[in-house]
Amino acid sequence: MHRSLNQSSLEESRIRRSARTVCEFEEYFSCDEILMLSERTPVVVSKEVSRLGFLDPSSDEENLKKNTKLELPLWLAKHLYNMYCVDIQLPEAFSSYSVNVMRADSSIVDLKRLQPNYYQVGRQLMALLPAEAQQISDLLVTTYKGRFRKIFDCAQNADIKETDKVTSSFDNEERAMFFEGQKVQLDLQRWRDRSQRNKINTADLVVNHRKRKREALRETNSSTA
Amino acid sequence: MSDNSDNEVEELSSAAQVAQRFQEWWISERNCPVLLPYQGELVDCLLDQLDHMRQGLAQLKASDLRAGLHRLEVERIQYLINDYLRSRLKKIHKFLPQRPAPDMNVLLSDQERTFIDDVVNATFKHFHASALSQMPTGMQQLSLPERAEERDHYVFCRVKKAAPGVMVDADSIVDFDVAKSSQSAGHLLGSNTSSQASTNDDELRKKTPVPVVLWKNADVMRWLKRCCADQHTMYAHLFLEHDITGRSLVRMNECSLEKMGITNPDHKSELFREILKLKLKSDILEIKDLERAGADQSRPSSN
Amino acid sequence: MTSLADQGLSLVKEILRCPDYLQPMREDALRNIFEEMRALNEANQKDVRLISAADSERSDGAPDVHVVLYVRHQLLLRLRRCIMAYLDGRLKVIREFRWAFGPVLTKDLKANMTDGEQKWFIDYSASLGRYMSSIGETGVDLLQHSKPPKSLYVEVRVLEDYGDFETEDGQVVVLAKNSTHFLERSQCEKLIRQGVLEHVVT
Repeated sequence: MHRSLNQSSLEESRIRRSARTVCEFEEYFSCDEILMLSERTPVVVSKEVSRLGFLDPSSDEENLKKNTKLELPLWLAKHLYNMYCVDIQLPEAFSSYSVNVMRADSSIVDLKRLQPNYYQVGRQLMALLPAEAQQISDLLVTTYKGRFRKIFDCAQNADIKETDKVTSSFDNEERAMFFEGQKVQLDLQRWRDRSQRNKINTADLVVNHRKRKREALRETNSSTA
Repeated sequence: MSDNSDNEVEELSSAAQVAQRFQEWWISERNCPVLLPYQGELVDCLLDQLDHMRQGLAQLKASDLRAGLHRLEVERIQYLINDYLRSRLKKIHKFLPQRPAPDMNVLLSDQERTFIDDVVNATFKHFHASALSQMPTGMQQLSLPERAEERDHYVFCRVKKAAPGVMVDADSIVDFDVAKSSQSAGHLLGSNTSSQASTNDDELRKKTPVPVVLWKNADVMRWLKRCCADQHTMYAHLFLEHDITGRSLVRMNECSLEKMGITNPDHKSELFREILKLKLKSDILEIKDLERAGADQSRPSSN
Repeated sequence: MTSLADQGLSLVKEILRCPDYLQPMREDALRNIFEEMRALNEANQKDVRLISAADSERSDGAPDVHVVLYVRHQLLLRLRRCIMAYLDGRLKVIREFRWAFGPVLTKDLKANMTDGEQKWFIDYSASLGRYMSSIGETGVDLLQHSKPPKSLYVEVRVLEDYGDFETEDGQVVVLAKNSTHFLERSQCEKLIRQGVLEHVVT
């Protein structure tokens, strides 16, 4: 059952790398996942690669030189990492500076600006960088612990008109969680109101469609006037 | 205890019992994030009843007071059926246009399978006509893996029958008791466990866990992910690579862990501790089973 | 080529921006991406020919192009995935049309749908219809009975002129805008969902 255990360390690392690429596609059609995999990731080129110079916008060389520092979309960084062409660096959001900030008070950090898919990118990096995996994992938990209460509180209590303002610093998963919480809160309110409870409502899509139609009509009217 | 569950559906004689049983499935289907087995017999049985009731209603005079009550009952049952089917379609729509994994086939009805086939075919026809046909030849074939449902969600469960010592996902053992007070005990369980449990009987009843020695590699990977999340990220590939099954897992020692390639002494001993714990738990389960079997035999066979 | 599938990403972002509204199909963006894919594919085929030529001559002079081949291939796959997610995202909106508006769409709903998408809507609608009619002896209408029933009759106000409406017992009611009626719930539920009537609760 056990394969021969005295493989060279290179062979082992090859297996480890190919094993990691197994979790490539979770949901092929998921727009969120595609967006997440497009986030910029800093890499350092670990060997000269011919004809890949076009990846470095700051140089006209045909080949990609060793030790060049680049920012690549995460999906491409992953593929080049698997080809032994680049080493992946920790993005700013996971640097030791960020660790200190998150420990102090993660709830004031603007995650949307820092790393809009913070938790998911973090999990991807954990799989790519086994040496830093533990540190990233701790960081994700610390960050989430510090922010959860605020998200929860906002979802329960924030004025619906202020939704954009409140969610402006949330990471994408946090936003989804916020909207879920807000929806539950609204459902509860509607249920408490006995008269609304059994009301058959117009389908949301129909309501939205009407609204847009009216707006479009108003626009054409004002432009012709 | 288990041999009377097969003919339970036939035992449900009265319409009220069928409706009651179906209502339980409807609640579970609505609240469970993954598909539960389709209750075709109950649905057909209820629809038959609705037909009868509607025919009966046609003969009643509109002014008859009973007519209104009967009609409301018809509407109520129709709502249950429709909402049940809608809940299922909603879950099916989540994985479309990918086909469901083969192990989900047993959960789906024939009609649902036909529907999925129809929609997948129409969708890929559309993809081909509007995009794939205009791509380079090598790109035109899009073959996607089947989609398995995410089974790691947690769900709330109400215990209907006492079931001591249910193994919940290999890392904890829970005694399910029907609470003595009117308030039933609530439990938070992984939906995988609960959907299996609810397969046996509408809601939770005792689920016989797969003994560790019979675990396949996939079960071991699941255990590793759940019990030693950190180790999982670092060493999952090793467990996969060496095709570690439950039987080989319980025989592991620190030496064999090192041979596998886990050289860090802290990681090694931590993993070994978890393996020991798992061994202990499965032993406890086995003892409990033996004790229960002994107790059942000594009891007079009134059941 | 330096765009690294940014065009595809912009399509995906559009889907995320309007999850419940159908924008016009971005035909020109799609055409550009197809063009980009063709260029990538040609470049790859050229390099493949180069490699096989180098192999047959056993010369080591040719540059190692395996990585660039691989990167171009991944770019192609990435672009394809973006387009697929875009098309699928649009179909998801169109699918909801079936559940909200029913099997027949008005002209303004069809306005932003391509011919292919209209065809798909008909196919989807038919599949759903077949599914619904295959349940039990007589079939069920899943667009009906969306809320637990509390009463047989409901009071409704008409939101837009609908014209004559024949109830099950053969009576004809004129649904004129702003008039109110007391109708059997099961018969008017769809019209409420479609926004023709409003359920009046007191």
